[in-house]
Amino acid sequence: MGKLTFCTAQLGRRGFLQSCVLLGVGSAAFGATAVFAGKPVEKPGFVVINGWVLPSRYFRDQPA
Amino acid sequence: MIQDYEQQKTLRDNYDFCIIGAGPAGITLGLRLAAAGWNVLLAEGGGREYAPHSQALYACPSTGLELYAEETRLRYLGGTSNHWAGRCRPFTASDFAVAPPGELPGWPIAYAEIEPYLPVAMDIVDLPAGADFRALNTGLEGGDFEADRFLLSTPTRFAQKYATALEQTPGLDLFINCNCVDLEFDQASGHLAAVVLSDYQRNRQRLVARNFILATGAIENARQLLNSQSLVAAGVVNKEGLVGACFMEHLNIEMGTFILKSGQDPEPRQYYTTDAFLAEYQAGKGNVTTALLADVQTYGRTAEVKHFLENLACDMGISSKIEFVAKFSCPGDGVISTMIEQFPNLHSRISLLDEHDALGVPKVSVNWVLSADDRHTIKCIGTELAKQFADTGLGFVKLNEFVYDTSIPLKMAPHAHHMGTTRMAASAQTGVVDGNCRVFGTQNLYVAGSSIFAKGGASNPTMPLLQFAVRLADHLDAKMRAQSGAAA
Repeated sequence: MGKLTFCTAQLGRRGFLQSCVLLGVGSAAFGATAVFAGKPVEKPGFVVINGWVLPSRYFRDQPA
Repeated sequence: MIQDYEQQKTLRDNYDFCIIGAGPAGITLGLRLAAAGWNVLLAEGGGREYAPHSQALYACPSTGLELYAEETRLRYLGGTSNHWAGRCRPFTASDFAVAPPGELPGWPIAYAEIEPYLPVAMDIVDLPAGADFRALNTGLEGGDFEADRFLLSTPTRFAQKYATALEQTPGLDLFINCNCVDLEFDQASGHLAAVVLSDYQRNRQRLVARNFILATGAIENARQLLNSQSLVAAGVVNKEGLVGACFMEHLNIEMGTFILKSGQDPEPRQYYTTDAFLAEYQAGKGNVTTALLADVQTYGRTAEVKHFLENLACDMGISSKIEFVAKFSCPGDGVISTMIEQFPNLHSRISLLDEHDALGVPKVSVNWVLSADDRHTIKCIGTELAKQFADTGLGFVKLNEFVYDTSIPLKMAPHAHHMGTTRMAASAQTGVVDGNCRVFGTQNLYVAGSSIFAKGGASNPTMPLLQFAVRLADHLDAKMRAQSGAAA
């Protein structure tokens, strides 16, 4: 599985949010952050997007 | 008295102590032992000022991570204190109580052995008596990062501050341009019998003393020991053994960037890992500093947007504009730098080379390497700081990929804190010097400076190494008085 990277500058705001929501749901379902970021970021509640360490609740609460 | 060995070569024959190296540790030891009434020779290889012919003797290629070993050290009176930044943070009890991961032990002595010498060391580096080590900011929520506490020395330049004392202290002979090129060990007695001193024309003479102290920094202390054929022949030094091994630095990692939440104080913040962090993650210690970019601090975040647009406008051609936008990496508001502990490991070491320097002494190379445990420390500090930065409401952190993906090479720089090459231990199986800084297998050869550090911690080493130097001076004074008493 490749690294978790996407460039926000290439996306519109809507696309960005959609991606984040998908990422959040995907991460919750498949444990993606554990694979990508390792133990310290394994704890629930954070996702790593292009290096940014962000609370996952920001994305899960958004309507898809 | 300060004399130039290039002109004056008359040495006394009754020195109680011969100290090699007049940097912070050597000057501190020389002055204290002479003040206690002993005859002391302090031999400094450099002159009063920087000179290329002296500095060139510090040439030391790196075969591992780039150390800048020649540039970060200074080979003249006062040593590396001549460009010391002055940051002081003392060791704490956990530095001594917690062993590093792996097979090598931590300190063989308790923190209580060093703590009483803190006020003296603070005075030496001109910190106010009784001053508290201060924090710039509050800690982060979560219990993993407290505010770092430190004080700034003026900073003390040892050659200038102690010029009069070095000139006038009875019993102290300081020779500049006086290079140690060999250590002569007498295996039968277990004593170092003499050192060989040389001027820059390679005129050599032996110097006999009752005790010898190496105080030339972590690279040169190991070099002196490795270079001594008599120590090697006696089995005191093994060129593949612990002398020169466990070279440690403090790691300045390009951790990443951050965006500060509106309304937060724009001043720099400094955090330090708590003992709870060490226990939870089995990681090393570290200082983390967050500082806004100068433009952002002065002109606000829009300055970065302006730069982005300016660069975009100047980039001709639509394809290159698209590429510029696609590759644009948000610089954030500021950068995150670190001073992270490196654990001792046997592969990180100083080794003798076949090539000799201008004085006929074999050169050395340094193979500075990190272990998986060090990458673990970096990753834990980066990711946990990022999470707690967000939790505390300060803003958000963007980590560089090599912080959390340990398969990617690090981008980092050294701090010029060289440590560990003659590490202190309970036995010769795991170290080079004993709890009193005496080289295992010898009766009268001692080492001072941060080369004795069994662990690097994440405290700036100058003040702690002075604590050890003062402790060593007290120990040697007591030893000599006991011997004098027994003889009487």
